[in-house]
This record gives sequence, structure tokens and C-alpha cells, in this order.
Amino acid sequence: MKTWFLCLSLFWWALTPALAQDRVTIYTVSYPLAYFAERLAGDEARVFFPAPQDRDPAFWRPPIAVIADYQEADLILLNGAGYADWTANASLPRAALVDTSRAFRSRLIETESITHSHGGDGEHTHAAVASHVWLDFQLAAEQAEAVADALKRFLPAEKIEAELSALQADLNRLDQQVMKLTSSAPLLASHPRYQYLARRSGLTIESVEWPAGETPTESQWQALDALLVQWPQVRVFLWEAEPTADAQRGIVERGLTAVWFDLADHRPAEGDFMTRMEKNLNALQQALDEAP
Amino acid sequence: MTVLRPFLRLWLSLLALTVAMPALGHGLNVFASVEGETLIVESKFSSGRVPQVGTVRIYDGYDVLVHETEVTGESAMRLPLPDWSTGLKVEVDIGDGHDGYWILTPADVRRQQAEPES
Repeated sequence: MKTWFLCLSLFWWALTPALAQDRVTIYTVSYPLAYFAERLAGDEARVFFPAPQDRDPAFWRPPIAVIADYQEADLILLNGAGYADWTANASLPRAALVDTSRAFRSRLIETESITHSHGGDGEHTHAAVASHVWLDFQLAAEQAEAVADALKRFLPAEKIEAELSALQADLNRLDQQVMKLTSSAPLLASHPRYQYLARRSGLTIESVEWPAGETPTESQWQALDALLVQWPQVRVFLWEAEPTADAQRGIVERGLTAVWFDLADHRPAEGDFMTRMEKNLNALQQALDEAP
Repeated sequence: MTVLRPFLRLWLSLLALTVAMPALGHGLNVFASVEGETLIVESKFSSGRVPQVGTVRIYDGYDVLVHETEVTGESAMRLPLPDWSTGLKVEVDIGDGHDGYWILTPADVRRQQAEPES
């Protein structure tokens, strides 16, 4: 009996690495894309999202050793829209690259343009686009479809289609919740990251530019006070990251209702993309309902 | 292949610069490649103009500066290849917030060195 058990153990020990090697290796630049890949591929893929929790994946430049790992992946899922722009500054295998916002490039939101010149080169304008596209859950559903299409190169299409239908149904449910959000007053946010949520919901979301998770400085509070003079009807303030106690107190003292609307760039400490977004939307809905 | 090599590198450079452009909205397009023991650094504005002044900095895979030199105004600067065992980041900084970079992993260098010399 012991011999059989030993043989069986050895067999599995030998087989496990081979099975792992057969799984699709996927690297992503954001947590939402990792979540979509995990939902769609299940155990058939190894999904890696290597950005450290204390770094903003939109601007993080991976160490070269990590970029070498990306180069070895079967699929590299990009958000596009200028998110993780290091991906344009390294040789990544074209066959593995999937720009998940390519299909809706014409619907990206332009955020700023800078006009200047380089010596005698003449004036020219640089455009920038908002990058957190998944906060419009219709666009997130299109990203999921792009991931699914890429996965079909490696995995049975029927399985992927079934998982995609379930995922898109969940995203549509979130979208319906977004469409119920109403407010005649503008909202204020701690950072300009909610452009796609605003466009889809019809809410007006203005913003300051405060570093995530830090207590604002005196001058930053003064800038907020100036904005509140400009928009006295504002009642709801969105935090992109969990605020410090002092920061939260400062918002409440100004008569605002604070909502931590997590962008989900990173894997949440509890739950997943879907539960985190449900929590965000429930908190926002409640704040809007209770606003005078 | 030997005859095609310069054209191949030119094509790869153009491809890389074109792909990099949308993401480098307010920067400089930089591309680096390796030929034997030579590091070739190319940088251009989106207009195609080559910067005339600035600094080229080369970092290893631990982000330690291993070489620094001034921009020469040539479209392709040829520099001695530093130790690339941990990879290289090639940065061109022309001031006023205009900079760009290109990353070469050890696998990139190995692959490019394996191509036949022109």
C-alpha cells in the first residue's frame, strides 16, 4: 500500500510541472484585466499582475527582470489609453500583445492638451486621454471580449464564450446600477480618475489632484475651499484611495459626504473586482440618496 | 541576412518609434539596439527632428547609472556596450521635461548579438 502511495505521489510530482507548463501564461498591466482573464480562463491559465500594492500601476515602470517575464508570456493584456506606458518602451512580442481598448479607441476621453514648441520645431499639441476605462462597465465588457478573443487562440472557444456571457452579465448588472445614479449637483473627487463613470452615468464629477492615501496640505485644503465657493451645491466627495483619519475629518467638517470609490487598479484586500465595484456603487448611491 | 541587417534594424527602429509614439505624448521617442559590442541609441521628436543637445544615461537592471554622455546630434549614436547581464535602460533627457527611454532585457541583447554582423 505504501509503495502504491509512493508511486502515485511520484507520478503527480512529476506531472504537476508539466501540467503547469501547459497552462496559458498571462501577464496584465492592471487588476481588472487580471480579474477578467481569471474569470474567463479559470484554472487553464496562470495570470500574473506583478505591480506592487504601493505603486500606481498606471505609472509603474517594472524592473527589467519583470519585463523579461512579460516577454515570456503567451498573452500580455494591455489596458491601452496611455495606461502603463512603459509597454511602448520595451520589445514585447507582438503576437502576445492584446490592446483591450483598441476596439473603442474613438470613444476614449481626451483629458488635456499641451501646446508648446521645441526650439525651431514649431508649435505642436500633445493630447492625453483618461485611462480608467473600466469604470464605464460597458467598456469593461468590451475589454473582457478582447481578452476572450485572445484566449480562444489557446483554449476551447465554447468554454470561453460561456464564461464571457456570465462575466458580461455581471458587468451589465453593474452598468444598470450606474445608470440609476442621479444628482443635480456636481460631485468632487480627490483625483481626476472618474471620467468614464461620469460620462456613462451623466454625473458631473469635478476633481482636485491630491496624492492617494495622504492627508492634504493646508494649501490643498484652501484650494478645495475655493472650489466649494465656486460650486456651493457639492455634497459628495469621492476618495480614490482609503483616506487618512485627518483627511476624512476635513471633508466631513466641510459638510460633505465622503465615499471611498476604489478604482480597483489593484486586487482588493477582500473580495474581487465585482464585489469591490458593487460596494463602491452602493456607497455612492446611498450618499447621493442622503445628500440634501 | 547580412545584407538585410541594416534595413532590418531601420525597419525595427521605425516600428518601435511608431508604436511608442501614442504613449509618449509629451516625450521623446527613444530606441536602442545592440550590434556586437556596440549600443546604438536613436532619439527623435515626433516631427522626425533629432535632438541636438541633451544627455544620454544608461542604467543597469538595478537602476544604477553605468554610463552618461552628451547627445551628439547624430540620428544614431554608437556607444560601447556596458555590462548588460541584468539588462539596460537607455534614457535620453533633453531638458524641460522632455525625455524618453528604451529598455533592453538580457534576452533582447542576446538575440540581437546573435544576429550576424553587417
